[in-house]
Amino acid sequence: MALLGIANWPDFLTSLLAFFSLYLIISISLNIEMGYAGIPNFGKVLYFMGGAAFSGSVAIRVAAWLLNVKGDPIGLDNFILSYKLTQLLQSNVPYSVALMALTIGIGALVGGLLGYISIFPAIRLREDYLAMLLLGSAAFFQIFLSNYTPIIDGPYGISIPNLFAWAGQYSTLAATLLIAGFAAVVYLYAERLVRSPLGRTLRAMRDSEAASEALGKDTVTIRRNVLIIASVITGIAGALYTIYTGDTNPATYDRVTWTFWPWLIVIMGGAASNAGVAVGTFVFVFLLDYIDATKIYLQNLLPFDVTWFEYLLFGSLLIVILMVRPQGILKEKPSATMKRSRIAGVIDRLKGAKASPPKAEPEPGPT
Amino acid sequence: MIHVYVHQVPGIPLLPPYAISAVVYGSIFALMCVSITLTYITTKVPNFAQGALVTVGLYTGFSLLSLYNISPYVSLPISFLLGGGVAIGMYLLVLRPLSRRGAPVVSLMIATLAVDIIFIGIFGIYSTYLYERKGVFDAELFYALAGADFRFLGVQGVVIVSPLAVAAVTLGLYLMLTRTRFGLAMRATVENPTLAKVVGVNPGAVYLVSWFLAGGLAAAAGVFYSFWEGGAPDVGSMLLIAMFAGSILGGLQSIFGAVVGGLVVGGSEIVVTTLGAQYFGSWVTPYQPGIPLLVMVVTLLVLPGGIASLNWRRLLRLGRRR
Repeated sequence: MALLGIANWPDFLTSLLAFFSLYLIISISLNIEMGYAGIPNFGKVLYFMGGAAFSGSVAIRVAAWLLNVKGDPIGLDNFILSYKLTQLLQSNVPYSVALMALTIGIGALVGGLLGYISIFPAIRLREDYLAMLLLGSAAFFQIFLSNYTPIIDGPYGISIPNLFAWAGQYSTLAATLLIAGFAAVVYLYAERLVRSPLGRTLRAMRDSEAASEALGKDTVTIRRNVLIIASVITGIAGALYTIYTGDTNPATYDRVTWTFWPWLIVIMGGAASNAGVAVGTFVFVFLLDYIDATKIYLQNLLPFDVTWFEYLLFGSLLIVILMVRPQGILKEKPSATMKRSRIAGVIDRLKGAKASPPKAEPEPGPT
Repeated sequence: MIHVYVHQVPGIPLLPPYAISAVVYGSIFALMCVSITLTYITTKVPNFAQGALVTVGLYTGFSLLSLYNISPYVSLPISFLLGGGVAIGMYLLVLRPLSRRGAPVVSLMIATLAVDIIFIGIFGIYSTYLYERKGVFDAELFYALAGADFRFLGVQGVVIVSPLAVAAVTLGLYLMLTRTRFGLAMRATVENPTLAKVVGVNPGAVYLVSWFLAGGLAAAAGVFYSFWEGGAPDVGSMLLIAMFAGSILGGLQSIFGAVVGGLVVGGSEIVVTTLGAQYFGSWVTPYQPGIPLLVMVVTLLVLPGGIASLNWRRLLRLGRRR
């Protein structure tokens, strides 16, 4: 008896956690860029795709070299090689962990590199030109990966060894927990970032670039740093996705799944509110996963593919949110300030300091 | 999926075969770029759903052809009206309410992206319907409708019709903008809507006409595209980047710049890819969609204001001095 149409609840919940964590990482990085710093990045899929494809491509080659297995990582031999490596890694936890770290590192590196390239347009162009350029670059990068075979075998993609083979039947759960761990770290990092002086500078820059420049803030450097941080995070998400699925295929890196859905999440949850984005991620991923899990029943009700139903549903949802509640589920909060008692303590300390008079400075005379 | 076909067009001396292909492709893109520019000058937002309007025209022509055997040329007015109607719907239901609520440009852009995604869904459903209920076997992916096209002296009809259409549209828009009261009102609204209102122009009507024309031209371009390249539910979205590249090259604010930009982007896609394949090998061909991106990058680096920002008189003077 399937409860609420879901046949396998443990699998459903594991998948829910995995995709919630994955989308949380990407959406938080978009929130830092778009919500706090005001850089509308319409090319999120670019960094994700770079991280996912290159990390997988490097992982299988390094694994083959480490374990001294001969075979072509590309083409028909790929599956056999990947299977052999998985067999060997099953009993080799240190190598598995090292490869995992390497995979994630490559994801971060490639994401950061693509972010670095995006700086050049991002600090010069107006938002509408930037959106067109980033959207176009992402589309072309997907075409490049689908045609240039040495990286991930063009349109066929490659399968990579299961780095959680040592966890046996719990390998999917272990991969899910890894993504969840990263999501928690990214969330806490973003929360710390927006509460720091840098976070307040970001909002100032977003609300009035001229005013923050007049106050001596170097907006170009700040924009550059934000874009690189966000791209590194998105690249890591790509590597984690490759580890989770165990393969990398350019057809899966489309702009709807990895650019538009994160945008929908951030706008639905509330731009410039990390808690709101977390809520938005949960609502979106729950809907998406629920539709996916109950596909068998839905397919009987709908005379067409469920994917089209998702496009209609989530596309309309975004427009309705923009009209009815543009600030999202949770509104942006004003900057966090110190507690009143702490402020009083600081004032007291300053008064104490005043009791012993500071060195008299010479009055600046008229020049 | 990206499909690239090299058309073998026989029979015109002194011209390499790809020159014809470049003219047709360029003409189709010129129409699309004019359409993007018409929406951009009124709402000041790049409409990411413009591809959907192309697909509306493409599927209208295709359905009437495969269901009732009506030539897409005959049904071109229907495609035009439908494309215009859908464009007005987009403007009235999504963009105007949002901009009246004071939504920032980024929100408007993401809203048009949402509209595009809704339309990919709609075309997906529609093509499934055509295939499953109406028995149109190639509804989900069809190849160039060359068989449905007429031939004139051995040349495919669209080779003649599409450049003529571009010329007619350019001339028509020129006459409308410079010789009619409505054209004057339109230029005034684009320059400064508030001031135009003061002198009694109704900007609402101007916006509606612009969007209607934009939708109709995009749909017509879709019909021509189906004769030359075929179609699929997401074909419009795939062409979006090339359309933007052409409009940016044209200056994004100038209709006549868009005509030139579209001709250059569409034409260079064919010429560069064909020559590249001849010199470097056929592996070059799949990277054809990279050319519009390159045009966009170079334009933004060298001439951010596009062709329309060129000061011709100064250029001529420079030329004379040398």
